[in-house]
Amino acid sequence: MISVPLFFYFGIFLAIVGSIATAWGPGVNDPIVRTFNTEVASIGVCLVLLCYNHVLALLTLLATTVIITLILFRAIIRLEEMGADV
Amino acid sequence: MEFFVSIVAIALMVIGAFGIIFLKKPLDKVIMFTILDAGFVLVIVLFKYLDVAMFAALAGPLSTLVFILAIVKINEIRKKKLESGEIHD
Repeated sequence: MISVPLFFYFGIFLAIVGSIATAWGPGVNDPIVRTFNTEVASIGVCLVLLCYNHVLALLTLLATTVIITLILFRAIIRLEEMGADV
Repeated sequence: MEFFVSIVAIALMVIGAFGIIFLKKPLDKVIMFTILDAGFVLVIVLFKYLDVAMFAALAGPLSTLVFILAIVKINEIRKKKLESGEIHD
């Protein structure tokens, strides 16, 4: 029997650690590093949704994470080409 | 049996999360993200949502592909800027 509260609290831990690392983590002056740290918080929220058995929300969050990563990196590349201060 | 798989999944996710946060190079971060995703797929299989596990296993490599393409492109742009003499940090 799996223990659901273990994964629930671990998901909350991952979400908090990922958020703090996105805000003040090491090397966040680079936008690539900041986008990577967002993924940790995303996986944490996915774990919390999994513990509540919300399958449709989990599927949507998984799909949206990939799409928003694509769009964010496209924006970062365009801004780097323009020489903007990102 | 499920207990040991839970321990393995949590260990994979801890290693992946702290690897993403504390490693410096972007390619190391991509590798650690793959480890984090493997642990997450293991947890979904543990909860017996096999359709969601299939989607997560398909979305993970797609995300990795986007990451690697973007990192290569940004490195190219930064190297070109450094060669053309612009000061850029």
